[in-house]
Amino acid sequence: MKKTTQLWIFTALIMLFNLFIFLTKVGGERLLLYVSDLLPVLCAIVAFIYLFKAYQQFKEFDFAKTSWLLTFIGVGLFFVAESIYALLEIGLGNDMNENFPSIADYVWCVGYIPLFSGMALMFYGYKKGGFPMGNTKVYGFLSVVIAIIAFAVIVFLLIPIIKDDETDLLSKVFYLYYPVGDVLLVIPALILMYITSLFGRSTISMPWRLLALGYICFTVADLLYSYLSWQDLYGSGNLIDLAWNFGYLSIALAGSYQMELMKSLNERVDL
Amino acid sequence: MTTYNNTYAQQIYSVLSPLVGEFMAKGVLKSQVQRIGKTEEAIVKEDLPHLADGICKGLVVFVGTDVAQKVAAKIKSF
Repeated sequence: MKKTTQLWIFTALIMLFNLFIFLTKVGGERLLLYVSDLLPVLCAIVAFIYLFKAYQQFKEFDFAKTSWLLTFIGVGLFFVAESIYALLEIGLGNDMNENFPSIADYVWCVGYIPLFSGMALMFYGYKKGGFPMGNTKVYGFLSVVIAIIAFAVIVFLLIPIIKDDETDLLSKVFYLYYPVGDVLLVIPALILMYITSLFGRSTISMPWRLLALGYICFTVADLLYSYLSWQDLYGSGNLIDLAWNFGYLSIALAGSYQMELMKSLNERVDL
Repeated sequence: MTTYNNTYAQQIYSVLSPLVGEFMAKGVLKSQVQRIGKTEEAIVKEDLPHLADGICKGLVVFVGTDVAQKVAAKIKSF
């Protein structure tokens, strides 16, 4: 069985397990807390490993290798942040809503920088390569979609948080950083999603497609987290955990597809 | 499945389509021949290095320089 097929099965099992624990609450609040905190650590380390394997397949330090390295570093920082969060909540028994922002939040915020840079570099490299960019009308439509998302985030999340007198300045900075970072990350993700749609179901576009899907999952989860956390409604075992876990595993699958693509091309005798 | 009346165009398309898909292979070939001021049906052997370099440049971001150069070398060898 191919590595990618195994990873798809692993992804399905993790999602089903996560959903089962969330819906049945079997094992009570304690198990829910463990699953909520430890599954993202597991999913992040899987993504970290597969991104490293993909990165290793490139021989020369070019656009492709640099963008995969940046993605690898970004997910690595997310893995560190997930581990710190789990340690603080499970190991030290901290109330994460009371202690917001924690050290984990600082690491997460730094992690956005290489993730965004890697994605932007992929888009820049593609544009520089001179391959077809697609229909300009679609870019117009994407601009409208992004403008609507940005408007909704500003009106329903950013402005109310800024006006909130009960939230201290440092917390406000972090509550605002996540949605802004996510909107910035989702712009190149949506564009790459469209570009890869031009390639049909070809293997060359699968890694980019899954990377974009992973970032979109992060964005949805983070926007909901920012809102729920600010309203003190976020608790362990929330349904949005599934989006984070699936986001990590989508990125792991992207790494796996890239690794298999590179291996198959290097082994092709007709090239 | 696209077919061309030009042997070189057909060969380039045959190399690209398993890699980037049929629709994109057609688009890439079209954009590259337009870049050198020609049509797919008018490609001659002397055009191959220019087309190969353009295709290589576009593939780098997906598969890295090493593999992209292999594809370019294959196109130049037609």
